Amino acid sequence: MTLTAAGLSTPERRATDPGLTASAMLAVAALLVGVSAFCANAIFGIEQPGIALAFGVFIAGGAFLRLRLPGDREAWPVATSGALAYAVLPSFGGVAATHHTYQVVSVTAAAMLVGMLPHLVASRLPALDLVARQVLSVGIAACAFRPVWDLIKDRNYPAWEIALFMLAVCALALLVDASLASIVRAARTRAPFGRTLGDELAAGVGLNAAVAATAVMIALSTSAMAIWALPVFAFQMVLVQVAFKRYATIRATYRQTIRALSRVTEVGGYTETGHARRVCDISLAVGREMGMGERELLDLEYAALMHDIGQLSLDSPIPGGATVVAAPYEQRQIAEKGADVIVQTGVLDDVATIVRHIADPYRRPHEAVDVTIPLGSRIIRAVNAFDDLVGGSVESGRRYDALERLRLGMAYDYDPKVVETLSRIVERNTSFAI
Amino acid sequence: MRDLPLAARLVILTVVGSAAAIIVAALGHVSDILPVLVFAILYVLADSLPVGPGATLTAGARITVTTPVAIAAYIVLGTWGGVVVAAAAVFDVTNLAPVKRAFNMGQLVLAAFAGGWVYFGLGGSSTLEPSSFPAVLLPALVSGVVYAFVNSLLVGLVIVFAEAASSVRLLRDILLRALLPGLAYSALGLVLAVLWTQVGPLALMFGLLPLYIARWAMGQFAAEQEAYSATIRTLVQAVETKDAYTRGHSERVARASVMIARTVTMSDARLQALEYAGTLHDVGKLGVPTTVLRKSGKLTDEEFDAIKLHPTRGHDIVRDIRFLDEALGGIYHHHERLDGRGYPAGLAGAEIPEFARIIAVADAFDSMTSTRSYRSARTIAEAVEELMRCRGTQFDPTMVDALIGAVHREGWQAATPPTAEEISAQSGVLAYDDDDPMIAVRTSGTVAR
Repeated sequence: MTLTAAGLSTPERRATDPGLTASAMLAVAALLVGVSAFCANAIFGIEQPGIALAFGVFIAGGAFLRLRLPGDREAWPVATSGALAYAVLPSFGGVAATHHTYQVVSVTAAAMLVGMLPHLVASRLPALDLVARQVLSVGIAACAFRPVWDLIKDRNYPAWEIALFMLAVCALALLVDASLASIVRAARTRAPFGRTLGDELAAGVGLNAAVAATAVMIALSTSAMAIWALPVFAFQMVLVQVAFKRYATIRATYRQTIRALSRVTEVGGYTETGHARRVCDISLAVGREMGMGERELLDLEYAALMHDIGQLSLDSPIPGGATVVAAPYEQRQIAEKGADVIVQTGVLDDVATIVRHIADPYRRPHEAVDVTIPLGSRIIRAVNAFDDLVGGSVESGRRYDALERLRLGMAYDYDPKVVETLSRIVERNTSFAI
Repeated sequence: MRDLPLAARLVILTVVGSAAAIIVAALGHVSDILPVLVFAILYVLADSLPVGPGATLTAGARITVTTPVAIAAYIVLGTWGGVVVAAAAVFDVTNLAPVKRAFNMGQLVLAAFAGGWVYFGLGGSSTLEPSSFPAVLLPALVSGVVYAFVNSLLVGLVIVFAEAASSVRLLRDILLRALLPGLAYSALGLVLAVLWTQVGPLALMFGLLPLYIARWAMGQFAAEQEAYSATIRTLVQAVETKDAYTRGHSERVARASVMIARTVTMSDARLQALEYAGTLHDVGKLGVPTTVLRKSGKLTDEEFDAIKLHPTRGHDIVRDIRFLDEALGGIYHHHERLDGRGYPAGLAGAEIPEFARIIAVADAFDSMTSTRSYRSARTIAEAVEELMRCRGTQFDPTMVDALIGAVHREGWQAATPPTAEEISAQSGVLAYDDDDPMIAVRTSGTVAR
């Protein structure tokens, strides 16, 4: 359904960003579909304008209520449920619905644009991805339902069979939407498509189930109740949205707080300014490219932000906070102490495990690769060393020296796969703007 | 049952007795048993699905899934059918005591009876066709409100009699709170009834799914919020390991701040933000070099300035947390004085944010009742006396009174003094506690001890 990756969350900013290309292609496709639908309506006229208006108002209102979800996603569940209901509408107030596929697209697109106007006026950038995906997925739902419905509506199938068919169509549309979102996300973050699709489906399953069920209910109940059913569902979906919004808000607050508290070691003079955030952002880019899932990435993010918290137990700060120059014993102490603090929260055990193993080499002499060391620890170990050596400098010489030093340590200290991915990312980006 | 007051017992007996009579009458009137049975089974199922910890949306208004089903039942099946479905609540799987179970069923039966009676009395009908709209809306909405009223009233009566609470206000609150949910749930019940006439039992699955999902999301929210609180508490404790004497200080300040806020009444959301602000108020102390914090002997002007920077440093650390908007002011200004002689901004009176005025009092109170290297802990009475002395000059009188009142009512668990090992484990000691109002002179390098 309506989940989008908003904004560039990776530090990659280049002219030929594949994420932008994917977004642009999506936008062009949606524009083509939308414009042809408008043309068809202009030529053939609008069927049942009253019904179109009722649903248009519902969708526009829903598009005004945008919802930010964890993982940089955006959704407008109320608008989506209204648009899908219009796509699978059999009848309205006892009168058979006669609108065609193209009219579903026109009404949806027009209503969404109207609903976004207030946001535009307040100069909040509209989520173009979101609109584009919505137009395409609702269009597919309409294509899958309306022609079929024209064929079978006189055959007197039992109502519950029709209801299940409508549900299947809505599910299809939401699946298409999730796939489009994961294509864009995969291109943008260079994560594998299978992984982003899995993340997208997992992140949207609850909300999508509510949207699909509501869409079918709207379509069925308006056949008897006509317009009177719409306020009920608007209310119900707003309730759902409020619940999700509260959840999303606390998740965002959680992230911001960990990010903020990661600066505690900087303010205390233990680490260099911006170190934790740089390690975090680069680690996330590496993790994504190595195919980590969203849940693991969140743990990685927290671990990267808090990886130096153990330094607070030191009597005097290490020069420049660079653990890479500290003795291995001291490094292990810092990691252990940090992990102990994090374990005490009682809710971040996986994060603590990552931090605990940061000081461990990925393999020891004469031994096989230590599989008990989480990928997150290996990533943070390499990225931390890189940042300690480079220190946020954009000078390419220093960056290549640092990478060279990591490569020299690939026998034991740094996982070669991590170093390889890190080198790719460093070479791609001229700077890590944090 | 035995330990309930007589009046509460009478209410319960009346409710259960009249419900029993209505059920007997209903069983005689129901002719088509199958749909009633299906409805009843779905009703019990809907009732039995697990409720997450955060099923409350706002104070008191729970997302219940059974109310719309009960309303749909009397619309579709008629008053008597609706009564039988409501009676199925007795099979509720939750672990209720028999008396509560009987009463719960009884009040639901009476509510369904009243709702159905109103619905059909106002001209509502069980056949819902396009031509019945909008005429059927009014009976449905009114009956839903009546249902919710009866429901809340009966439960409220028992609470009032059982706890001898101030009855009139409580009852009025209960009824007012039932109004909106009553309207919303009756509209949803009507939709469920319409869907039922079209697709049968499938209607309830479609209809209840979004409500369950909303409830699930609320549960997720509650779990996440708990995790969040645990996390910042722990991280702040980690910061406090710098000094054995101030261990647990942030948490106690948060607790005292909440006690004050409850007394002066504050919305739940602000209360939550205040608790976070209280927890984080000293996070900037980290920016103060440990050598200064633990220095024994007199502090130089530069060292004083370093200490005075801590609210600013704390503000710098947490300012990116968007949610903490109001809390930020609390952290930044918690060392302001009512007479304008505080820092960092020198605000006076009402210019100081409310959060900061609260935290200032809580902060001073905990500091005084804790042991410091240069003195032992004061008693609560001494601390209260000192707060009264500074009431109006340093501290907001309202907040001082609120804290003293709250400590009177709820008591205060003061800090436990650090053990000898804890003190010897650290290389220096905290020489100067800026939160301690008994240290009078702050402007020069001399500290009155």
